[in-house]
Amino acid sequence: MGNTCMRRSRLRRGLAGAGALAAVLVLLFSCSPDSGFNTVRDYDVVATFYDPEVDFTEFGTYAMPDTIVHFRDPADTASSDLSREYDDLVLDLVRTNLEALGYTEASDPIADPPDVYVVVWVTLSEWLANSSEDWQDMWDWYLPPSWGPDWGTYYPYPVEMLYRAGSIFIDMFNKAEVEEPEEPYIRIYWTGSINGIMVDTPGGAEDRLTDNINQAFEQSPYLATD
Amino acid sequence: MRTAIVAGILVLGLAAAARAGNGIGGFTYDISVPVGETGEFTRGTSFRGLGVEARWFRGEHTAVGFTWHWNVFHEQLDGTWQVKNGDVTGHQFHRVYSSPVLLTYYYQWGDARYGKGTMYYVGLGAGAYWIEKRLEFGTGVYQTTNWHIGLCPEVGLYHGLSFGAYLNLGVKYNHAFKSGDNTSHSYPSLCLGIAWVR
Repeated sequence: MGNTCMRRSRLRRGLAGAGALAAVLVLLFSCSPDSGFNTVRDYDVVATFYDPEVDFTEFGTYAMPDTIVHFRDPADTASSDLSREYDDLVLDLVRTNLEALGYTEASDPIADPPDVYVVVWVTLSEWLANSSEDWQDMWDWYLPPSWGPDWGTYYPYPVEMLYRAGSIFIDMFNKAEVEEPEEPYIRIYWTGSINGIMVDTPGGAEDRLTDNINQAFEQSPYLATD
Repeated sequence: MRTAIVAGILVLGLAAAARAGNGIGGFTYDISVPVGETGEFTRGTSFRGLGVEARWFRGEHTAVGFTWHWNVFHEQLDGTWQVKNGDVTGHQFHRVYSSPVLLTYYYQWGDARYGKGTMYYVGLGAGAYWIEKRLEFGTGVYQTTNWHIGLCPEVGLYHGLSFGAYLNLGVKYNHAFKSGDNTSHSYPSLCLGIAWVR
């Protein structure tokens, strides 16, 4: 009788322990919350960075290539090119926002060089941005004197982010540093990026592009020329 | 890897608790509230926490032991977040993962032997806090991971249950001091658990 009671007691304790252990394990493996990103729009990120030493009120005119350059990591052989369906929309949005901030587009950039250049480009490869990157001769073709073959860009502020393929970048820099660079890197005064937006464009692409490009300028009021 | 480490610590804790002579050990479910710099980074009560605790009696009123806990704080935010020389807009997740491994000392009184009665205790834990602080947006992550030195005073009780186990109810105040590029972290926790005496 006594042995039976002891066995039952041990059994109860064992079952209680096993139940508690199971509960703890369930908790353990469910205690890290999921990402919470459910739609393409949830992944939209607008990041802007600026050089604090630059006084943007000194600028008034800009020039912008009429083409969005597609950049691919030379080691990346898997990525395919992207549609240019939205290129005009993107360039128009950038142009509209710059003019709202007081910038005037140079009518003849060769005869009358602008204060700043604004270039728009897209990365076809996933890209971990650091404070300096090779320019990959992307702009050799644009406006004399163009970039030298060994020139790169230089961001004098932290912009370390992982960009997905299809991310848009809008970079602004001073023409003087293009014409007579003192170092092989072009110093970027302002950069705006929208992560991955040119790839994830099923439905609502125009709205997403409009909202996010406008947001890049909205959160950068210091760009205003006066 | 992290899961394997956590599971390993859990198994070791279970083994130690099972082999402990003249002691008490068990599990807790933790509800925590971030305060101080933790509360500035991620607000809201955390219902994601658990722990393993064991202690050995070293006299009529004292005990020494160890605790390991896993606490997760997270908050989803929308809007613009200011960074050095810039701004980031989008859906953001602010997360803090905290895993303290502490040596503990307790003063206790009352009677909770053989699944009956109630034993009260006050204690102090000291040791290391592994803390990962993450800001996630889209596919981007700003993350700092550091080991911190920390302290954890606590009060609580063990109450005997009918089936030979003990209910553990405790309140702790976790404080991990600043370490490297990570801020200090603080969070009080309400710990509800079950324990067994050997």
